[in-house]
Amino acid sequence: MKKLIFPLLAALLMAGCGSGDDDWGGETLIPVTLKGIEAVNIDNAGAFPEISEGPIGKGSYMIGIKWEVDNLPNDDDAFVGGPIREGEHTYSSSANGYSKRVRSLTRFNEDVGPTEDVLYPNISTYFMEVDCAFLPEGVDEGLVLLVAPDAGEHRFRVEYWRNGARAFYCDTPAVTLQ
Amino acid sequence: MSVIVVLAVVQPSAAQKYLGANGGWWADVQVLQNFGINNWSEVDYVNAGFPRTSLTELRAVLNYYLISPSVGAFVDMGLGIMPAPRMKSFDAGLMPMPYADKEYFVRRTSHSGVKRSSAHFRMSAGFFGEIYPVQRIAVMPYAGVGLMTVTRRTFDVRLKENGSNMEYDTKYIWGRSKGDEFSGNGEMLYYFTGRLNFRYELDPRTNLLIGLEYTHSWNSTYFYADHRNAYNGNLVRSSKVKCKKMNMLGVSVGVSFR
Repeated sequence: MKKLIFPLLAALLMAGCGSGDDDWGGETLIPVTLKGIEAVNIDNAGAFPEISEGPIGKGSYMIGIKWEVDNLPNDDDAFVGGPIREGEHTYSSSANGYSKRVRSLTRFNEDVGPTEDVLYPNISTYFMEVDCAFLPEGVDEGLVLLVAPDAGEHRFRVEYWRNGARAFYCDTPAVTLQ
Repeated sequence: MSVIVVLAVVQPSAAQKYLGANGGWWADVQVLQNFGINNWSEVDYVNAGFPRTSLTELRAVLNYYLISPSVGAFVDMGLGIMPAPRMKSFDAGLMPMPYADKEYFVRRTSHSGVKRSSAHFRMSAGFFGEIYPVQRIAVMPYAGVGLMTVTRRTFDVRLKENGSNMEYDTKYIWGRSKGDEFSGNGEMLYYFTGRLNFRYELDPRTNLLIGLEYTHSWNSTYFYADHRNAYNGNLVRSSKVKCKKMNMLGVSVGVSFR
């Protein structure tokens, strides 16, 4: 019996080490790539924000952004990436390298609206990004509006910029702010 | 005749003189229960955040006769337990909000300080006297000053205003000061203490002790509430409530020996 103990222990140890792909854990190690964005209107009046297609209060409007991602290789990923450190390449940091800009596609108020020179004025300073922990399911980023516009129908364009160039943009559905 | 009777009563017996006759040190070990005779504050949310005003303590006292056998000095150290605060976890319904006419939702809380029974170190020093009204029993009044450790308690809360995008970073603090990122949570309360101990002599080296005492703190604790706009960091509202000075009555039992 004593002669069998060590071989049995060794076999058990090797079996544990030689487990299949299921033991990698739930998170893929290949970082995802942002391919596009979709914008939704969110009502942030209550305890938790909700995607809304109806009228929203001027003081509680939020733009929600959904990411379109994949982990397929493309020409931009021409070289092997550096070592992945824990926490660096998680899904939540997919848009970290992008700067966000918001434009008003409609007249915002009596002072801010389309002009001959600028068709869609940049109103990025009226928005601020919020903690992604309090966003509706499926929404990856939220931009709260901190300056109340005139009541009425509004529409906004969200642009993602990187390296001085616009990478993606998307327009929100029309929303009545009251 | 009456004067002789008084002197006969007051003068210590030969056995009772033993402890003090040659001066020197002697020690007490006491178990003490203090009861607060006032709350920290009459404001409910302020009082609920502090430990309940009751202190159970184990104390060692070192006594030294200065003018043997009637007057001496003492120093003591003790470790006491105060019960948990009534508000063990954050209760938004109790607390003051940035604006009284608006409703808020709690998005995030973090806590530091006491939320269960807490240990408090006490130390005091002063003088005592010794009187022998009857044989084998000494009455010893004590008077001194001391300090007691208390722990600053803080709730950091993110509040979301109902009906708008506004959020506030709010800090609620119970303690002597607001503290800062470089200071720890420990603070000091200073107090006057007056005691009346009754000592019964079991043998020349051992005595039983029963005592009454009163403690009055001479500095106060405070409650602070700071509300900041979460988007630009502006301080929207700041409030401060000064608490009452703590007063406690206590009963002790112990053993005195040399």
